[in-house]
Amino acid sequence: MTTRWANRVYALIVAFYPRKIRKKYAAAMKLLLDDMLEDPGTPKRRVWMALLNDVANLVGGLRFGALLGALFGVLVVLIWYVGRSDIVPLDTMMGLVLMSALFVAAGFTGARRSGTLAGGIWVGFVAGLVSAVTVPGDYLLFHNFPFYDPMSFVFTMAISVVVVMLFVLLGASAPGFSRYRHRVGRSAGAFAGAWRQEPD
Amino acid sequence: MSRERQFTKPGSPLTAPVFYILLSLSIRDRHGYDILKHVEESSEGRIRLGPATLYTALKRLLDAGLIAELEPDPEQDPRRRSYRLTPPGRTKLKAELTRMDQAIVLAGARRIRARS
Repeated sequence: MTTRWANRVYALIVAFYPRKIRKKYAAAMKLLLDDMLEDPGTPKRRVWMALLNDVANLVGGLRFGALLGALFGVLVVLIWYVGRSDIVPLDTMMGLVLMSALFVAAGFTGARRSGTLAGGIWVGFVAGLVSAVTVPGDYLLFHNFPFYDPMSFVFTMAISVVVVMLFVLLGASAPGFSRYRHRVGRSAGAFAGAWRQEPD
Repeated sequence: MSRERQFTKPGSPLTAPVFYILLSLSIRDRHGYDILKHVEESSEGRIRLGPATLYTALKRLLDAGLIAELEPDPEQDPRRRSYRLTPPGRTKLKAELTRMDQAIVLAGARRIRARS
């Protein structure tokens, strides 16, 4: 493997790493690869193994978040199925509340695990993708397709996506709430004070 | 738990790559490639890090305050980054070594024999 090809391949791997890592360490990572290639004591297969290791860690980080999201998505599908098929008498509103809570939990869990808002959104996004199976499931299993035309279907799906991601965002921002709770508390206090002083 | 908190929470074990990184920095200050080589040698080839994996771990250790980045050496490539173990990092490493010692003593006390 020539040095030029190794550098090209590695630049591609680095491009997929999180922005925080890439911005600060991309140059240092590429220099380290150069050091490995120039070291006569490092066999070329060792360099390939290092590149594969980096790809595996990149994929592994994303994959675990995806697994977590899929788990939440499956739980949402389970609630939908239980409610739809009357296995357990489940009020529609209760079902929606439970599903919403699961999306909030997905965002929260992802954000807590990764320490970033993006991590929480990723888990929630995957949960949403998996739970989307309820749409064809409603049609195939329960012969329910309450859409008049393709546009109403697209519009309803778009609104559902927005609502789901809002719940996910709520959950994902919760772990970082302590950083700005004082400002929120001050604002709430100022609003309450202004409310009390409102003349009759 | 976020990945930085897993380093700072008392009693939480370190992963093998992080342990060897801290061990290599406990001997002297090192730059990235030096850390990578030392980790591979001291783990007898069991821990082989790639550049991105190493710097991801170093970033987490920096964020947790266990290591510190040194000022770049003007005589060296400006891209080269060197690191030093901080006092909290040294404390964490010592705690991990104590935990390992206790595990070995416990295993000996229960007369567990490894099958060769």
